[in-house]
Amino acid sequence: MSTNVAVEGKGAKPIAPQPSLFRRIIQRPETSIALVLIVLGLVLSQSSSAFLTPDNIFNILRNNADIAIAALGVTLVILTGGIDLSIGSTMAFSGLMAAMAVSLGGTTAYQLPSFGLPPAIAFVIGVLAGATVGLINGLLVVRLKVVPFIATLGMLGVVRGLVVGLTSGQTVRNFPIEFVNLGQGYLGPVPIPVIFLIVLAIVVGLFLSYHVWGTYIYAIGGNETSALLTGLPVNRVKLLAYTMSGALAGVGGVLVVARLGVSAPTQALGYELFVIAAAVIGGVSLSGGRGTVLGAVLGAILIGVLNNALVLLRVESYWQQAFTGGIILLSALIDRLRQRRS
Amino acid sequence: MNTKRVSRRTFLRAAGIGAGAVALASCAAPPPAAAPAGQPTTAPAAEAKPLTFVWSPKAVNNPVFDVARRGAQDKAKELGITVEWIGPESADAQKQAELLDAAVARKVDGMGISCNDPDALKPVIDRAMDAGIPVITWDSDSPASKRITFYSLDNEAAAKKAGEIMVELLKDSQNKTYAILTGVPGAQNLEARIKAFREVADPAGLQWVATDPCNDDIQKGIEVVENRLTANPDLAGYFMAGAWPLFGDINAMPKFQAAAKAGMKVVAWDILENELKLLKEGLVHALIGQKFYGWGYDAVGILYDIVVNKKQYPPFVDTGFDLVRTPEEADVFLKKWETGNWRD
Repeated sequence: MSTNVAVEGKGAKPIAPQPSLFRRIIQRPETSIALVLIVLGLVLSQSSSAFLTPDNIFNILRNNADIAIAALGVTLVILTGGIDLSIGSTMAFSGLMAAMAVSLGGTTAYQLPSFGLPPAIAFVIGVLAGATVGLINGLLVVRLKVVPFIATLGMLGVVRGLVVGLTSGQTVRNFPIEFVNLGQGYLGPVPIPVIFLIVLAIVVGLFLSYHVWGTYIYAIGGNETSALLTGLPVNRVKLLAYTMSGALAGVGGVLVVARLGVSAPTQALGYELFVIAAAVIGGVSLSGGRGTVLGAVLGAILIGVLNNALVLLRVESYWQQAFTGGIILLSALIDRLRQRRS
Repeated sequence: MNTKRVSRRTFLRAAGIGAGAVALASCAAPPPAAAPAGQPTTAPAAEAKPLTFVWSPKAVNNPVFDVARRGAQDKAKELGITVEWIGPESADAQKQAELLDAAVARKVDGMGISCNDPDALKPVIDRAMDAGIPVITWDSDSPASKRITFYSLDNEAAAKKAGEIMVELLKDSQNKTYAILTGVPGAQNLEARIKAFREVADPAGLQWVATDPCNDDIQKGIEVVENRLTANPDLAGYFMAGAWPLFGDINAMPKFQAAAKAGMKVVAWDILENELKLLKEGLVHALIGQKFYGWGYDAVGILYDIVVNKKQYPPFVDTGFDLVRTPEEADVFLKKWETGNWRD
């Protein structure tokens, strides 16, 4: 029963009479966004020679790795049929915790506490801070039965307030080079945040496809009642999804602080919308049960390419939001058309 | 338990009567120049109620406003008054108006506001003035409101100066292209800066390439600057109407760093610690400094003058601005950041 739901949800595994390759590609939820990306890439490479260079591509990926990593997490939550609006705040909180842990102190009169801990420990502290926020989200949803939208909206405010309160608006900076390298460094030609993204995307993808709890996530989102009746550990699976979402947002948040070399209370303000949009335009269904990790990552890349395009194409400041919104709507429209065909 | 409750109620009533009496008295007679703080009194209800001002920044998540807050508190301590720091968590006009509405309802003794939006804050400012609560604005104005005065630098004059400096920096350069970075498109002070800068720069032969917004976001600012230098790697100048990307580590902007090292000239708003260090490294060439501390310290003094000493002020009080171009000048301000002493 549960495997049936899961297979249907992913629409990726071969079903009895093998459909044609074309049909299988068309049926994949990532197809529409991949199409949009290809078309956008073609247009951009025609209008600017600067676009299709490894340098620019890696730049886009590094600038948006945090959104993509957080999108991996929110995908898990959305697949269960939930939502996590606290992501932006979680990213800022994790970043701040890691920053205070690792900072060597500063030279202004407005210094926040800093502990000079080793970067690896600071990284873990940041991720744990994120996981804690996620765990609280999960407990609110699972134990207290608060609707996910409200539970995580509340946490959005609580956690952001905590960040602003702790910092009273000031920034934390002055990190050791090993920490900064997590965000700014390269492994060969590949920026380290992009390595993080690739590894985490593979891990989360494998978890969803091959781990039994991964298949439970799809099953719960596909039909929670039948999942309950089948005896799946619905509450524990949800708790895990929210905690992982918090932890992954934490990874993204810490990497951004490392990249920017500063933790500011404005960090990732409103980014939950980009993160959720990345997942949704990547084909993750807001009603749960449908979507993939690859789609979410492509969604985040699309957002990054759009930001890049706004500058390369010299879209006037005042029109940029309309432009971005339009492309997001366009990709949603293509997705509808694709679903109708398949 | 019961007796305790009764006694508390009695106490509160006594305090209320006391406060009312003080308020009446202060209407009749000119209040003392500086209320003596901490004078021993037997009944706390009889103690003179100190003046309470509400000081409202655009947002409390911004380090420059934290400096203003400290300035306001320092002045409050000197004057023996109370300054409450009330602002939205992030720049949000509607939220700010709501918070201030509550302050008006409480009948505070005065308000100083950095307006997120001139029109959105106008009703609450007017309500306060009509209710007899004097209001001044600082940093960001609501010119059509009934506020008494506006305490700020002259954005237009400062941006014109920035434009002149850019023209001068690029006078020997063949390449005259420059880009502008802004925050939220449409923000009044930023639009004024951009307009004034271009009014000087463009007729002098500089070539404007683009104005990119970063929504007041550090991360986005860094992304936008790097994208701009991908599209236009040979920019000769960069005018930043706010310092957003310069909050971060310069190494987060490899293209910017490379361009600045190759001779790109950068003129930016504000004198944050990080910007001053970049100026000393020669990666930024001129900074326009606003009087963050004065937004609190001096402006609280102005409102106190108005409320207590009945002084008249013109509708605009120019704070002037600090121009930082040399490492020595940068050191002066780095010292201020280090010590937190902005007064001399």
